[in-house]
Amino acid sequence: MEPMTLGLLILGLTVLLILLRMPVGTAMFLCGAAGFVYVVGSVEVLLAWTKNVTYARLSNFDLIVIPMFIMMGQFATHGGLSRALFRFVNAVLGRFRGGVAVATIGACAGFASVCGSSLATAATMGQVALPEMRQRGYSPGLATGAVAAGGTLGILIPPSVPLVIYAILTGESIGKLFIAAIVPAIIAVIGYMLVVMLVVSRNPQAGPAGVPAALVEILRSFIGVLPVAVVFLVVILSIYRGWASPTEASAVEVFACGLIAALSGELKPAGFLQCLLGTAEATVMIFVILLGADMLNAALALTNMTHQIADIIVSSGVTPIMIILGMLLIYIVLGCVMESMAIIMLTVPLFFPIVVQLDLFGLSPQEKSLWFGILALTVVEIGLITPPVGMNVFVVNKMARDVSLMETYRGVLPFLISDLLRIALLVAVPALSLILVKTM
Amino acid sequence: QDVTLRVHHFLPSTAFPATDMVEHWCETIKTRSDGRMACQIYPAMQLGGTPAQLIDQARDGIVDAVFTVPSYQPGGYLRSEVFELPFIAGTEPVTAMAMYEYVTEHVPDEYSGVRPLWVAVGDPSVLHFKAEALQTMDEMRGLKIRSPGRYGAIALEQVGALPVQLPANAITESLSRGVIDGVMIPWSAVRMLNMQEETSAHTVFADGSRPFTNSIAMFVIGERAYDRLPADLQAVIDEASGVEASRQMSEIYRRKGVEDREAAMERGARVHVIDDAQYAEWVKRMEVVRQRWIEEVDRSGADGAALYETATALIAKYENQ
Amino acid sequence: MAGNTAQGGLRPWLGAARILHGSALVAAAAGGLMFCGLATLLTISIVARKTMGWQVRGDVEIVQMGGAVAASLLFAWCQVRHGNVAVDFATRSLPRAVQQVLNRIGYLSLGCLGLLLAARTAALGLGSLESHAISTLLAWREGYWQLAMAPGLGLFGVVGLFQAVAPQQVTDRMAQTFRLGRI
Ligand code: NA
Ligand code: NA
Repeated sequence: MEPMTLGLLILGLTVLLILLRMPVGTAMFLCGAAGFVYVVGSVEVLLAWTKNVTYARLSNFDLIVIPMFIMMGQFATHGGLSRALFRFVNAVLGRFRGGVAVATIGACAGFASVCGSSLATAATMGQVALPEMRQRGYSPGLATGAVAAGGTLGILIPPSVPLVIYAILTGESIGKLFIAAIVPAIIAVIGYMLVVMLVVSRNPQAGPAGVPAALVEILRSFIGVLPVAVVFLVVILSIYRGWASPTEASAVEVFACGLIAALSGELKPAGFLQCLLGTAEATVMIFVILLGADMLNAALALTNMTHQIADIIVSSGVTPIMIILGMLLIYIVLGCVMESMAIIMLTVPLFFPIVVQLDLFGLSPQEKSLWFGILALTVVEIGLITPPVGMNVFVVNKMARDVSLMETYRGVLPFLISDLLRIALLVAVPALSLILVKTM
Repeated sequence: QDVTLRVHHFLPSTAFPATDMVEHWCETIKTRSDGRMACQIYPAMQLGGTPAQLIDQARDGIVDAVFTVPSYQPGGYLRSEVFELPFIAGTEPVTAMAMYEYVTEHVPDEYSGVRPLWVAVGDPSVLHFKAEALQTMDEMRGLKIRSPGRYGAIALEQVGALPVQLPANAITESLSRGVIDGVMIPWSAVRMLNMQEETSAHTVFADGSRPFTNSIAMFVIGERAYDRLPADLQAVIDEASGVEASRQMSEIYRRKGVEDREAAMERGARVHVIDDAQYAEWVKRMEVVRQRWIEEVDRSGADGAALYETATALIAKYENQ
Repeated sequence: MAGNTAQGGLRPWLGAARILHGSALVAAAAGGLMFCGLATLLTISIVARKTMGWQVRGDVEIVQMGGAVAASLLFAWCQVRHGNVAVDFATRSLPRAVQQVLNRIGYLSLGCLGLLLAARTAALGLGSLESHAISTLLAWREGYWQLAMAPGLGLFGVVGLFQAVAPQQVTDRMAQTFRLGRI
């Protein structure tokens, strides 16, 4: 069989199995294994290959940051951080029209700076912010929309698990990717806040103004978030300044967040057990897909298809930027029905070799890989709030039982538009993603 | 074309050992077999696993041949590690020829299931720093140095340095961001790893002295892959391998090392050469490492002292040729 | 809850579910605690390295080997919780019975994967012991750590197989219980 045909057959079967509800990790593993045996011609050799994969993958020093960042998010979730954050931001902003929704975005951003997952950010902040907004008479769509969209900041703001996976799959530096994500994340936060202001300026009933908080309350609530803010700053600075590798930084952060949660008295033994169990669930979900991706990637490498595709595309005369836009479109389509981490693991090994060969604005290979990583992250993040399967929307909607799914999706729409504008901006101006890395 | 050999290695496809050694060797067997035998090369661990698992992959038949550094798997090739001990090896070609004879004649059981085709001895590892070259051994105390392999790390510990384990592709970034203070690596790795911007001070042992340590790569073919070949193709492979091939491959390292050192000097790098008194001090301090190796080999059931003698005798033999 | 006939038929399944659920929960808690320990160890090591010119000897290799074992212990709990993602969007409109069969095929595939990885990783461990593979600085035998990964992965496999055949109510109850012995 032609390499191209075989490769596309393997990929097509994988997608088919995924659509038939086969778990993403095993679908990738199964099709990869079948392709591997087809090329090598021996089951015995496949068994030899599977001997190495688990230990090679799980003992990878960079990979340890995934459970670390997930556990940190768990400590933040069960350690009362979400309440403290919301209390502080709301004390500052709650007095304005739409202020609680703006505060929700801000608190989500704060929570995202210690949590690597969007679902956790949406779920945790939703518990705090939703009742508050509903009580103040916010429109249901704005309330749920702000939490669902604000939740996506969970992966946009470092630490970000999808960026770690991108780094592991491409050999890119985790630290550089985190630093590269900072400016785009700030743009996202500003964009979301502008959306809220725009919504309430058009419909003042959607977000009535609240009572101004006293200065004492602002100060007191500030002290509540201070420890975690310090931890975050120390860690991001140590990555930026090079005092520690991302793995070491993540370990320090887990240690510090656990300590803060325990000392604050918020984290009880039962809550601690929930942290460990939550970490297990979220970590393994990723590791199983990674093991499947390893098998699939080995098979695709054996077929040599990526070289062929890259050659065809490079010689086809399509402009490089069209190819990038095509890839982003594929991401958005996949994002409608698939989980963001799974999309990254399924596509990056295929797209990345092509991207680094394209001539894009005269960027160096490393600049291209950082820029594409940020773009991919931004588009898969959108998938969390696009219908029909928008995981953040589902999670938030479950918490606001009287709001219909339709209404939540309608509330998310303006945020989605700001996402699309931001993607256009990031594609047009790679410097936004690269400027901080250059100063490292 | 009758036969395609699947060749797996851990280097990026553009690194010089990948092009000048692996690809070049593949070209050679293709030409000499009149195009009947060729390689399909998978660089950068494309087929999965870790560099330490490469020889096992050839043994298990996952791939046909691999290029790797056996000591990436500490303990697995313990008796071969004698050539990486401090102040033992000769020049690159001499060490390569000696080691090829050693692994094929004296410790063949360490490579059961595979056939070593050639040994590529890297140019001697030297100390690279960002700004300040180290003058005396005492200044090593507390420095974070990326260590080369198990005995390299143990050797660094003897002078009070903190050996840091890092994959090769993380060295440059770690240097630039201060995660490590220096790196113990051959000159030939400087441009390959894009380290020239990050290192401008180098501490080296005098020309002609035995290397502190060196990293030794090997190209091996799986026995199954070899046995499957018809006799005439086996002959093609045999002819492109062995002591002479090992000498040639190691010449490439030696030449690259000299070039990179000259390039560094042109950039204005400072190179501090360790003087004789300090050298004697280093040698004395490293005696422990040699003893340690002998003990560990003894414990594994072989005769450490005898193998050590064999290794040094082989180096002497090829030095006198 | 006890007493009705449907419940009576479930009893043997519930007994097995209790054992699997409990083992998975204990394993995940142990794995999570190991990660906390590794985080503490790395924190001590980096602080010492930055301030005192000292480090935990072999910190990287401890984290690598310990992290692999810790991670292996987490797998079964994720499976108990149905945490391994599948896309149900395209099949949601199919008859319930068909959907159930698809779910079970998914559990079965994960169960087989778990057993395969457990068996093969054990084989790797035995091979490592035979070839005397050790860690770089501490000279710890890698094989023991690899063998230690097999039980966690094996439990993952058994849970998957169990879910493929057990009544839906039983697997659902396993997934929604967070305390030992409460199934
Ligand atoms: Na985050
Ligand atoms: Na979606």
